[in-house]
Amino acid sequence: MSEVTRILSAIEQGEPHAAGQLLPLVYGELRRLAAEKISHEKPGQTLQATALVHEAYVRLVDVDKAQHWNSRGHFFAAAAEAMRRILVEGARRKQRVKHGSGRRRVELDDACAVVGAPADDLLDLDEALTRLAARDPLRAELVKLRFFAGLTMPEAARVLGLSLATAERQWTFARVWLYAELTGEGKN
Amino acid sequence: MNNLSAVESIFFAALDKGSPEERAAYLDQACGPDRELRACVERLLNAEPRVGSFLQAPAPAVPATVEEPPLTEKPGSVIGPYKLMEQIGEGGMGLVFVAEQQQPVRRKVALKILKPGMDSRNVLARFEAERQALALMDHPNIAKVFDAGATADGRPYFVMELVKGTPITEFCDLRKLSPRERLELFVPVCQALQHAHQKGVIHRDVKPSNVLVALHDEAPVPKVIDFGVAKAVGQQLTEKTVYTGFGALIGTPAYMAPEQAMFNQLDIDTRADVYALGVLLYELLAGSPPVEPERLKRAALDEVLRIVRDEEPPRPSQRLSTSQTRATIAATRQSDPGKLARMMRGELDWIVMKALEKDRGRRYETASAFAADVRRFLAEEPIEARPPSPWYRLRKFTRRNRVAVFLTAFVAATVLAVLTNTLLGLRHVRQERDRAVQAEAVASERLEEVTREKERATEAEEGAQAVLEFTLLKLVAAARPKGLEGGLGRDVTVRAALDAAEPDLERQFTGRPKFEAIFRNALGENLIYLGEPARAIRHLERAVKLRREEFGPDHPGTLQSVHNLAAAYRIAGRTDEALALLEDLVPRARAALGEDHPHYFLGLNNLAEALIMAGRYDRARTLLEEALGIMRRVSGDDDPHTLHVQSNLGDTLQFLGQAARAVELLEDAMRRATKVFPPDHTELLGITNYLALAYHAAGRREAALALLEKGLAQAKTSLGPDHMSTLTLMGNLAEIAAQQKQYDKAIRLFQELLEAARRGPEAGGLNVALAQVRLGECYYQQRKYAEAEPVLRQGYESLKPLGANLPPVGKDALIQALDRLDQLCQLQGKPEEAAKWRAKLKEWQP
Repeated sequence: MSEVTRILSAIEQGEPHAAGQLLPLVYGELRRLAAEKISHEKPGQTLQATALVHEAYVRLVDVDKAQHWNSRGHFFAAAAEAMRRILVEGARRKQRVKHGSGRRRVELDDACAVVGAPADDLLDLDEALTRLAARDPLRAELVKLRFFAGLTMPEAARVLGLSLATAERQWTFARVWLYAELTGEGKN
Repeated sequence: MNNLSAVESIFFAALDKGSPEERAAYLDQACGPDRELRACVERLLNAEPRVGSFLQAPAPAVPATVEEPPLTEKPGSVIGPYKLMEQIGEGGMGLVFVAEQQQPVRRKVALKILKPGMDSRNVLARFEAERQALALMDHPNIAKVFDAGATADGRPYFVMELVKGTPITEFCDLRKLSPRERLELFVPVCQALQHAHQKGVIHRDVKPSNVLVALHDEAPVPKVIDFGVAKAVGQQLTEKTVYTGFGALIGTPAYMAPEQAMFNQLDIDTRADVYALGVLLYELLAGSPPVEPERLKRAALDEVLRIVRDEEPPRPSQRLSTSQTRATIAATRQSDPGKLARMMRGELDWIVMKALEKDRGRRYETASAFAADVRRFLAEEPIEARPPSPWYRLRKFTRRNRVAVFLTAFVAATVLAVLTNTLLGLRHVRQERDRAVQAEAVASERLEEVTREKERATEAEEGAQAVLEFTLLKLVAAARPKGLEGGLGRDVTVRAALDAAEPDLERQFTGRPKFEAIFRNALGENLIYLGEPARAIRHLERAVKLRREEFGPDHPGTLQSVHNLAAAYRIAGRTDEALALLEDLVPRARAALGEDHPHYFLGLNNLAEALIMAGRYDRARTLLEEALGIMRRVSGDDDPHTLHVQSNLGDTLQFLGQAARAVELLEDAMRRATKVFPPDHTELLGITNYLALAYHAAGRREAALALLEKGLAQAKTSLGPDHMSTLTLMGNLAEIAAQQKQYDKAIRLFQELLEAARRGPEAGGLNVALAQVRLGECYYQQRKYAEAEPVLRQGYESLKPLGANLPPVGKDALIQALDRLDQLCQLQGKPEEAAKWRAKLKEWQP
C-alpha cells in the first residue's frame, strides 16, 4: 500500500496525527510534478494547478484500495492547502526577485497571471482568505477546494459534507466577501 | 465581529428584495440596532454586482517555485565579517565559498549559504541550540564549525574550517586505492563520528561529499564537514519543516537511515550515523551506494521513502558481481572483478550489512565498534559481525511480520468449517419446521401434496436407514472385540473406525447419491476437524460432485459442501484451489440466497481467509469488513461467528501494519468470546493466537509470550499434542522466543513441534517445512553449523515440491533456507556447494 493510502486510511480511523503527515507528502509530490512538467513545457507556459492536483491523486493514492472511504475528501483538502502554499511561495519569491527584499506589492501583470481577476494578486487573495478562515473556516475551506484544488461544486460539497445548494450559496457568498475585501469595499 | 452565517442569511434575503426601498426596509428590520452588521451586509451588497466571474476559474499554477532566482552572492560580496572569494561548491542545500574573515582573526574559512526557501529564523535557532556542543568538538578528522548567521536577504549561512579536499569516494577512485587502503582511510572517519557522538552531536548527513580527503605531508587525512548543519536545517519531514526539510531530504536519501525516512520521527540517535557510515563503506567498496541514486531520482518521494525503509540491499559482493561497470570498479581498486567479489564475500559483506541493518538495534552500537570490526578484519582477527539475518533480507512483508508469517490461519480454519455447518443446520431445521406447519395447514385440501410429501419422507427414511446402518454396523460396531464382525477392540478411536469403514462407503450408498453426499460431507467436515485435510478433500470433492449433479450449483447443500472443500484445500496449503472455489461461491450465494444468508457472509469470511494465506491482505480486509457489518446486524455483536470474523479482521489489520487497531479489535473479541465460549473452546484458542501475534507486532513481546504459553497448554489438553492448531501455537511461541534470542527454548519447541508432526496424522505440510527452516536458523544463530545444515536441507526439500503454489510465507522460508545454506557452506569451506545453493537462490529470488 502506498504511504499516502496508508495515511488516508489512518485518517479514516481517526488517528490524530495522520492528517499532519499527509500534507508534506502531497506538497512534495506537487512540487516534483510541477518541476517535471515545466521542464517539458515551453517557457512562459502556465500549468493548471488543478491538473497537477488530480495527477498527484492518481499517482499517490491506490484508488481501488481507497475508494470505500472518504479518501478523496482528505486528499483534496490536503492538496488544496499544499497548492495554496506552493503558489503563495512562488508569488513571494517573485516579489523578492523583482523588488529585493522590501515588502512591496506585486505588479499587476504578475498577479493577473496567477489569479486572472480584478486588480489584486495572489498574496492579497491569500491574506484575505486567511482573514476569512479566521472568521469562518468552513467557507474558507470551500474556497480552497474550489480555487486551489479545482474541485467541481458537487465534489467540494461532498468533501465538506454539505448539500449542493448550501455549498453553492456559501460559495457565492465567500466570493462576494473576498471580492469586497480585496477591492477595499470590505475593509472596515 | 458578526457571525458570517448570520451575515450570509441577511445578505441573500436582502438580494431577493426587488427594490432598494424594500431592501432598506428589510435591513432595518433584520439588523436592528447592530450598525456593524448593517455596514457589513451593505458592503457585500455593493460588491455583489461587480463580482462577475471572480475566482470562478481555478488557479493556474505558475511554477515560480521551480525557477530558482539567481543568487546575489558572488565573489567580492561581503557578508558580516566575511568577504567571499571563489565559489568552491554547489549542493542540494546551497553554495559554498572560500571566504576571508577579517576579524577577530584573519583567516580563510568555508562559507556555506543555504538556498532560498529555508526558514532562516528556525534554522538559526536550531543552530544556536547546538552551538555549545559543536564548540566542544576537537578532532583532527572533524572540520570545525565556527559560526552561523543570516545574509541581508535573510538566508542562513554557516562558517566552517576550510578543507581543501576531495570527496572520499572520488579521492579513492582517482588514486586507485585498493580495498585495504580504503578501509584504512575509513577507520578515522568512524573515529571522527565517535568523537562527535561523545560530545552529543549527531551528524545526520554523512555522505561522501561531507567527508573530504586532503593530503597532509603526502598522507591522506579525511575530514568530516558540515556538523550541525543538517540538524539546524531540519531534516525531519514534519509539517512544520516541510518548507525547509524537503529540499534537504531530497538531497541525500541514499545515505539516510530507515528511521530517518519516516514522518514525525523524533528520536534519531547516533546509530543513524552508523548507518550512513555503512552506506559510505558500501560505496567505497562496491562503487555505488546500496540503493542506486539513479533509481531514487526517478522515484516519487513516497517510493523513495519506502525503498529506504523497506528494501533490503544486495550485499556488496552481490552488487559487485552484478554491476555493469564492475570492470571499471575493479580497475579503480587495483583488482579484477572476480578477485574483488571474492574478497568482499563473507566477512566484509557481513561488516557492511551489520551497519546497514534496518533495525538499528542490530547495527553496531557505536561508530567505534564499527571501526574496531574493520580493524579486526584488516588484522585478520575474528570479527564481531555475523552473516546478516535473512529475516531481514526477505521481502518487506516477512520482515514486518516475522512471527505472523508462521501460519496463523490454522486454528481458525478448522473451527470455521464446523461453525458454518452448525449454523446452517439450525437454519435448516427452522425452515423445515415452518414448512411442515404450512404443509399441515393445506393438507386437508391437497391430499396429493401430502402423498408426495410422504414419498419424499419415505425416501428420506430409507436414506436415513442407510446412514444409520453404516454408522451402527461399521462405526459403532468397530468397538466390538477384535475378531468379531467389524470389531477393532473396545478402545478403538473414531478415527480408526472411520479408517476401517471407508472402503465400504461407496457400496453402502450405491444408488443413493444424496445420502452418500450427506455422509461424505459430514465425514469430510469431521476429518477437517481432526486435522486431516488431505483425507477430507477426497470425501468432499466427491460430495461436491454428487450434490452439483443432484441439486445444481446454487443449492444451499451444494454450497455447503463447497465451503467445506475450500476449507480443506486451504488448510492443506492448496490456496489457489480454495480461492477459485470461493471466488465462484460468493457471488453465487449472494445471487441465490441474499446478503443476509450465512453462505454469503461466511463465504466472504472464508474467501478472506484464503486471501490472507495468499498474502492479499488489502482485499481480505475489505471482505471481512463487509462480513462483519452484515453479521453484527444479522447475528449480533456477541455471536460466535461474528467474533470469529472480528478476530480475522484483527489479524488482517495486524498484517497490514495496524497493530494498535488490531490489538483493540482482538482484545474486544477476546472479552466477548470469554463470555460466550467455554474455556477449552477452539475458537478461544484462535483468538488467543491472533491476539498474541498482534501484541507481538505492537512490541508487547512479554504479553505475547505469556498468552501463547497459556494457549499452548490449553491446546495440548483440549485438542491433543499433535493437533495442527496446537502446532501452530507452538510454532509461533518458538518463533517469538527465537526473536528474543532465546534460542535454546526455541529449539526445544521446534523439535517438539517436528516430533509431534511426525506422530500426527499428516506428516509434512507447510507448517513442518517452516519449522525445519526456523529450527535451522536457530542452530545457525548459535553457530551450530553441523546441526543447522540437515534441517535446512529438509526444509528446502519439503518446500521445493510445492513450487509455484507456495504461499508467500513458504516462499520466504524457502529463500531463507537457501540463503543460509549458501552461507553455511561458505563458512565450512565448501565454496562449490555454496555456489550451487546460490544458483538455486537466484531462481527463487524475485
